[in-house]
Amino acid sequence: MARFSTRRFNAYVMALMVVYIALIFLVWPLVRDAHSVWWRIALAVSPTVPVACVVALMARRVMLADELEQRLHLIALGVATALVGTASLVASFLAMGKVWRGDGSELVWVFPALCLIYGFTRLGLKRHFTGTWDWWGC
Amino acid sequence: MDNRVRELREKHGWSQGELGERLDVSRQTINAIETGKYDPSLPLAFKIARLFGSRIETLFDPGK
Repeated sequence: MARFSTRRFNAYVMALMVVYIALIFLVWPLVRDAHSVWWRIALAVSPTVPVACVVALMARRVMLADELEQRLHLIALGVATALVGTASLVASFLAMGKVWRGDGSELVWVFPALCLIYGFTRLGLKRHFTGTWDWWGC
Repeated sequence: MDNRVRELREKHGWSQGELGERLDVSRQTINAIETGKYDPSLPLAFKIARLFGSRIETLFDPGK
């Protein structure tokens, strides 16, 4: 199977992010006014559909990558998971000890934090192995 | 690990991108191998050796 070009991958991700933003601003606010429980559930989780598509695209990209690229993806993913997982654990203990009173909406930041740390780690790794600062090819 | 990939690639008149296409890896991976920052897996090392018609031990030198 042909390798996934960075340009094509970025174009798909950008299109899905536009859909995500549109859902957040246009569809998600309708949740509170919806009467049916099922309709409320559908509206509430609708922004996760484009995000799930991005995750599937990323998985496909990693599977079609060469061995060095796969190593960089996996190290970056490991670092991001370790940091976000540890931060989540700390936040959980603080919440259980009533030191931090959150309402659960903070969880919405877990996935973006994971993506951000993954991206920066991969950028640093790419710099180390190839000597280039290629953000969009990251 | 020292290697003669750059030397053999230049001898064949190929760019890093062209060699990458022949090996089905990215240009950055070829660059990382040539600069010694990344040691290829055994299957890729054999693929490189086969492409250049060399033995793997003449292409890669693990050093001391």
